[in-house]
Amino acid sequence: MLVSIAGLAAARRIPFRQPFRPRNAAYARAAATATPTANATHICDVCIVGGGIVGTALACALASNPITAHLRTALIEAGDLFSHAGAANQEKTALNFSNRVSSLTPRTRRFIDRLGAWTELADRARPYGIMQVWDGVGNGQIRFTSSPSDPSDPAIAHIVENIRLQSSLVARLGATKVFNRTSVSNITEEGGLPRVLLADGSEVRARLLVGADGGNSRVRTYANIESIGWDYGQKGIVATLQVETGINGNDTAWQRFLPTGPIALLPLDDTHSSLVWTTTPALASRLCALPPASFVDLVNVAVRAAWPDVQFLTSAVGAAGEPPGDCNEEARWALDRAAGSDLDALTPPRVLGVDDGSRGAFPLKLRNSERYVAGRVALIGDAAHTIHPLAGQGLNLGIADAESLANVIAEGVEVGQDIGHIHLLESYATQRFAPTLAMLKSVDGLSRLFGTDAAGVATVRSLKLNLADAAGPLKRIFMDFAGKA
Amino acid sequence: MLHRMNPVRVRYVRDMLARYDSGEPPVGRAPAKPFEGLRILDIGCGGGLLSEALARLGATVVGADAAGENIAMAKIHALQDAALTKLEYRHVTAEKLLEDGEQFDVVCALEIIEHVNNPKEFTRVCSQLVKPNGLIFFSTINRTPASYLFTILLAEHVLRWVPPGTHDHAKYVTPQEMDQYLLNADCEPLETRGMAFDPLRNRWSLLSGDGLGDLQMNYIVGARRLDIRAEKEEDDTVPKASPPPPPPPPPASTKPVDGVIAGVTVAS
Repeated sequence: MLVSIAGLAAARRIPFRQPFRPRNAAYARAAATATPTANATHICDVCIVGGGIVGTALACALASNPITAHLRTALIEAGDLFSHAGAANQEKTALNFSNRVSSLTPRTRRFIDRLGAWTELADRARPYGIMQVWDGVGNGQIRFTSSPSDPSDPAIAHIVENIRLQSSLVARLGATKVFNRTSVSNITEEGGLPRVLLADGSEVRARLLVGADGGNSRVRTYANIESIGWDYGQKGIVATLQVETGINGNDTAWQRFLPTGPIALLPLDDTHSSLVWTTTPALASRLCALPPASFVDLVNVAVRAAWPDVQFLTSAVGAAGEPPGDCNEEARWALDRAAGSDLDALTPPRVLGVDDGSRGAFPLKLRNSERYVAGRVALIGDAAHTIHPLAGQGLNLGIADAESLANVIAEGVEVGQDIGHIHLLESYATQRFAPTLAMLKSVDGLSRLFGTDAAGVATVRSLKLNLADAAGPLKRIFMDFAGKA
Repeated sequence: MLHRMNPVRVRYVRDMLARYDSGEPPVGRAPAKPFEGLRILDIGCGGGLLSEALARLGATVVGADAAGENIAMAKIHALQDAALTKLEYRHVTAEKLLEDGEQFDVVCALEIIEHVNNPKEFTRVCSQLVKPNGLIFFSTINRTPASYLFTILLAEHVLRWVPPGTHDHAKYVTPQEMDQYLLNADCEPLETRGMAFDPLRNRWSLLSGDGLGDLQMNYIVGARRLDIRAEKEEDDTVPKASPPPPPPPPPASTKPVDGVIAGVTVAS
């Protein structure tokens, strides 16, 4: 106690100034005494480290609310926030589909809309009203359709390319001070405030430091918050696929659970779908190296053929991506064998091609921070938690974090609270910790349930899926969890 | 505790000012700065919890406390927020401010009257520091068995949230007494609301004031100082603003303990 008072007493009074005006002489001297190398010190209310979708959404939310618009907000991004400027406005045909897409739940979409960032995304976002999930080993299946009880939101979710969402948000940053292409070299504390040292020698001090800087968050490390979890030993392959247009267009999200992980086709438009194929790291790198035509064959097999055929063909891929012998023919046989079976009743679109350079693979993990807040620090998005992508919930959770934190900050401003005070931040943590943990657990459970081909488990699992399909309430739970959460 | 209670007190003051402040709102007042243009006195400011909040909402604030160590603590704490420019702390009593002819648009005397020796006189002095038609706020603890149980037995002796001896149950003020003090001081009580702590949610909330038990413990009252100077001159039975005859110990002198607590909460 005494120490902290002495520390405060020793703290140099920081002269108040308009946030980001050119510094005056007195101020420059003060800054110089603090860090001889510093060439500028910025004092702000909220400093967001990480300009991904989640961090940018928080800055937009603060800028768009009249209660918080006066706050001096800084956004620090190591990459180039403006490289895709205007991407959201470009003609649909002007840009190839990006391979990183997200499925936005209605709740997320409404929030993005309130920020004013939805309108220009609308024509590029693909709503889907049907989600078809089935088991690759047993014969369980479950079909979700949008609920007619909520006509205002006819879609289960919208598929949106991340870069478009990002650029639409970036256009709404308002008075946010953006430190673009600026990396953080260190985070320390001075006078009770977090102090972010930037690679260009300047520094930002903030009443509230927000970590939106992803899985390896430096803000989390600074705040001494542990992150607990495990790696799944799986990789997710993403790609943009050209697909055959079905009778009803391309209006269904398809997801098949294979013992090695789920494979999903998410509709982008009538002739394109986004692939998310979760599999072992070894197979992932081989599949990414395959020639495009063979890759397409294997995707078709993985989506439609019987599991032994999928296993046979994928295991025949060479270490450097050499296609299995007679790949095309083997694939055709496998698909013919599947035709006429139960599986055939499900008709995911036939994949025709893969966009050049759209294939990529990333490791899958589960992480949760032991706390989401500390004094003057809040974590949002992947900095707070990382989830298995099988239910497409990662970004939705992160955006919900941004929404919740922006609301809590506004509540604090309304009653003149110090926005970095732990008592205020605790209400953000209270709002987000339990729902996030619940989501992490159910998605983890789902991935484990389907991550096996042991006969007993598969039977029970198929039974469960079929029961779930028949039983309204249970299906409702699945649906809430996948779409409406 | 005081730290968690503060948002509720501020919201009450904010809502009351929005509802009853007859003054013309300055043009272009930002939504986040509803107190812009108001000069507010926070008497018995302790560690400056309320003063800082009022200043962040745009007011020009004078935080006054009779205990020097409270003022020192409050000043140190305010250094943490460079934006607190319209905030001034003074080591001074309410009586001295009145002697100096100070006047404020709003006076807040929160969690202080239960620490002064002559609450009736304290209310009168505070009321005269408000401009006619201005609002004045008092919050304190009701003198009930429940308040003894929770604020003294539990909070001081069992849970040790505050040091034993912080409060003196005999000095707690009932809402009826508070209203009487205000009426004697030419103020019209407007609304009395209870404040309750919910240990499960770990936060305070404002009660309607009408419910059974709403005012059993902590409560806050807002009043308007009546503009009756003219009448007063005719039947001047009560001595006016002159310094009170027997100089009692400074009203806020028993406050330091509480103030230290506020400071500790804030600085830790």
